[in-house]
Amino acid sequence: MLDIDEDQLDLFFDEIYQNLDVPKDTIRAADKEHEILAEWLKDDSEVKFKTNSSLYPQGSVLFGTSVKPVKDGDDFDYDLVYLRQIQKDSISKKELKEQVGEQLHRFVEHLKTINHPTIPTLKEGGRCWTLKYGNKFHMDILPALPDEDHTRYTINKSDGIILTDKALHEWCFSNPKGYNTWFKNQMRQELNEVKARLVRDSSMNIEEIPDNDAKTILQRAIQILKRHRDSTFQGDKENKPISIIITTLATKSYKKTGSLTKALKDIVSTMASHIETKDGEDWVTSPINPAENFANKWKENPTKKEAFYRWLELANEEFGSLETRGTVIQLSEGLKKTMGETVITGALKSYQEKKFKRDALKIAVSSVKTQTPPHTEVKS
Amino acid sequence: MITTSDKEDIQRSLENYPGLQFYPDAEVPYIQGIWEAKFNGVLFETYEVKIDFIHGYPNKLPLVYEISSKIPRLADRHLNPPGWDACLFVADSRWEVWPLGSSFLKFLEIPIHNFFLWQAYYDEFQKPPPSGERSHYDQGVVEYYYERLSVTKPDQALRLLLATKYITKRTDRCPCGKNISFKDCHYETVKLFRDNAEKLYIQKAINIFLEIVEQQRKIYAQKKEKSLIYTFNISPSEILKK
Ligand SMILES: [Zn+2]
Repeated sequence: MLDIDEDQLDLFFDEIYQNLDVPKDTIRAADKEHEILAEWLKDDSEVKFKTNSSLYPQGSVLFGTSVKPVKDGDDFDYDLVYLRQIQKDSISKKELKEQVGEQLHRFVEHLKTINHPTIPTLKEGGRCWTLKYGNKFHMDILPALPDEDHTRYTINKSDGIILTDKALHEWCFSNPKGYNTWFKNQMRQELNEVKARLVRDSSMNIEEIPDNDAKTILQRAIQILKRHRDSTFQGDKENKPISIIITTLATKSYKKTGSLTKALKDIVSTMASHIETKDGEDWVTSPINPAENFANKWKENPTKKEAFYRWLELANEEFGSLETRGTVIQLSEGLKKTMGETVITGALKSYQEKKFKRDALKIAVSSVKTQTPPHTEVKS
Repeated sequence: MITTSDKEDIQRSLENYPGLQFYPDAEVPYIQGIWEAKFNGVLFETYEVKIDFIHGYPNKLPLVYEISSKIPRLADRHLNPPGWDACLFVADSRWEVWPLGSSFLKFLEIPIHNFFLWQAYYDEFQKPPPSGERSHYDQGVVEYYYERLSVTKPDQALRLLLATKYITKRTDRCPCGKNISFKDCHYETVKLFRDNAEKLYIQKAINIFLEIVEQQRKIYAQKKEKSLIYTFNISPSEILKK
């Protein structure tokens, strides 16, 4: 039985996305603090830091897939790579971490002396340092060195970085810029279409639009899935499936149809088929490095694998057959439990306003007294 | 130059449009301001518009521009290049939409009102409303006559348009080709066009249909097939001789 038509579902789900998307002003504020820190790092007078360093976003912030935290009071996580141009052999993992801590400590003191409006607090994490700015966001700063092996990745070959693990025992390899290139390339055409629409609605040129202001249906779908995961694993954060796995599998399952709810359905029903088995081990292969397995923790820690499949089953129940779940109001009652009350209540309200406008428009165009269908006379 | 009484009519027409301002003394008199696309008290969208009363008004239609570029400059949004004036309706239908002698108010209330509702719908749904649009260029004109004359073939439209110029007896077989008398079929419609439509547009439409019929006749002659399109087996030139 078809209770809700696809247009209505898409309208509602787009409002859900709007409600769990991190507000633009929060992101802009974080961007600004990021810039200030980057400038200061560049000018830092301590000799050992004069290494042509760079500070750039990674993960969700870079991919445009960040979501609001589940708990209303929690702040938004802005991840940065602090890449220092130092050879791996010239510094120990511990030194790398401690030097950055010392430097950030001086940065905070600097902000105090110039009466910066928001003074962040500095906290040490396993592999990163956290600057917490008020209650809106915090920046996780990951010290990193360049990866000298330029054969590891299939794209952005020289953008590979090495990072320490949480215990400072091992070097880990990563390439956030390369992954971002791959991710955006999978939806390049759609991204350009969304940007073109933004250009139309604003006075900006296409080059001026920040990449992540234009959100494709794939990005929106990933954000909804991540929020569903965050709510599902609220009491078990240790085992929640990692974002890179969800993002990779979702991207591989995505088909461009123009419909957000269709995309969600396609993704949850086919994402498991992109998990490979190599030598009895589960592989979520990095799309830019065939030797990297994003699911490498699953073997030694089967609970993580079980948690992933449990989540996927729940996501299938939630998004696999949306059209059979009654009216939008009935559907929203169920979604409140899995996506969060605030998000769904907000989405329902704006959905109803939009729906009212759309219905009124349909009536308006169908009730014009004299039909005057527009026409174009002149060839360009 | 537009006449003083036309200027007064325009000024009066704007009484219920506080967002629009008339500049009667400009070299080309114009209206500029905010158009509200609304219906039954619901406001859907606002557009910044300029309406030029070009030389020859009201015989010549005023040119309507959406000046804030909210509507993309595309033929699919029914803006005419290169100046991107709004193409409100097929010019042939003017006698039904905004006949000569009617107030400018009617131009605001029907074609402009409809045009911007159409645009607001397109903006919201990213597609044209189901009430439709005319195809671009001559094809849109053809569609208009097919719809208005309730016919589906070019030679039917051609004969009916010719009947607005040449006498056909009420008791004759209807020019549309149906085996009934003119008076029981298309007589009233043809009379409506004869009495109201502009001769210039009728003649243009006759030429368009003539060309289509001629092309089709050639295609069928080549294929040596019996024409499927012709309702009557007479060539277009013979139709004209009549
Ligand atoms: Zn007839």
